[in-house]
Amino acid sequence: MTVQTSSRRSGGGYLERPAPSGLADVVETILDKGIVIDAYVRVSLVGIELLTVDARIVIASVDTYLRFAEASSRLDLYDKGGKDLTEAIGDLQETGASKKVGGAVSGVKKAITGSSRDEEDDDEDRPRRRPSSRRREAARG
Amino acid sequence: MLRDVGFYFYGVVRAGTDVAGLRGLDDVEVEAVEHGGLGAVISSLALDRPRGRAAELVAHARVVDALAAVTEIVPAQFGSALEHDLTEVAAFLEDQADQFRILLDRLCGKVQLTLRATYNEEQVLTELVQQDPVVAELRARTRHLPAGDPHPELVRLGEAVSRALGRKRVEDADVLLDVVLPHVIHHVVRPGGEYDVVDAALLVDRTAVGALEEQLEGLAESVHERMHLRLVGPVAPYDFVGTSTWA
Repeated sequence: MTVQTSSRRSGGGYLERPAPSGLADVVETILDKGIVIDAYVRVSLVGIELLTVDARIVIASVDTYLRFAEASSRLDLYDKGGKDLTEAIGDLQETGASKKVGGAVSGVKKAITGSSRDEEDDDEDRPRRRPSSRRREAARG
Repeated sequence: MLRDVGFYFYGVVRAGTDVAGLRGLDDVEVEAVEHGGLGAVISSLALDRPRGRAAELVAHARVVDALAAVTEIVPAQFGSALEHDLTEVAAFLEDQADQFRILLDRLCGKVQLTLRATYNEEQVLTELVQQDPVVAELRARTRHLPAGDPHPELVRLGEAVSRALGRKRVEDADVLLDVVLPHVIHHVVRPGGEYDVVDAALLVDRTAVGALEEQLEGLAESVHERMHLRLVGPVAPYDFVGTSTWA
């Protein structure tokens, strides 16, 4: 039996399609997920502390802010124009480059023109809940 | 001797599911212990073996995902070892039979894929500087400061970037999910990394996987200057069986 049943896409190639069996993806996909039947089962085989250290902790610390600041400061602004996401998808629709995405574009427009103000209050806390990039790099390596 | 042998528990399937040829932890043959129309997928395990590490995690995923590729399975949490004999395996299947059947019915014909969209760091920071006056002003004001200097203004700049990034992430995640969700039955947004736009587990009908891939390929191309899209799976529905203790 093989896990890899999905068809690999040969064309395009912008969408990354890794095999799901890589360790980093396995860790991210299955750790702490699934049923536990407490009365009969002991969960004692887990000895992969190295991989779970810092897994879901993020601290919006001064260090984080300094990293953001440093990254922003060293930008070379002359190189980057950059369309926003709605424009990019809008262009796609107009040129008919991909009809597949077209159907979703009305929804996209609605999402962007809709009130995003409402969400701002929540945003302040958001980065604190995110895992550190350090963990990600470790897990991917 | 016999007392040191238990069973590693991978998950629950319907009775009659073919597990022949599958090998699990320690390269031991996988079996299904059936009771009341259900099957517990197990392999025998020396209970005094060393604790599991990466190889065990991968072996667990290999068994569960191989079954998920052809049928429905309720995955057990990694590291579940049964210390008791096989009559107790039957007992827990019986105790939870209704819940297992409901879950298996709900998962019938469905697989999980995981989508992660990650910003191109330079691109998104450039956008923030260009679009957010606070970020732009603080950046201009702190440019003369030497790198590594924890100047209060630099902390404020980083804070402003972090806030603006959070706002942008919410908007962009909505846009991406609007494109993706029509192909999806359920989804769970998971905590992502610093520059992740969205990290979501998607429960998808098996027959819709191809269409979703095509949609995402088109989407990935149209947004590739700003972000990178990565799709993992199909795998077993790990994010859609709950994690509560069933006892």
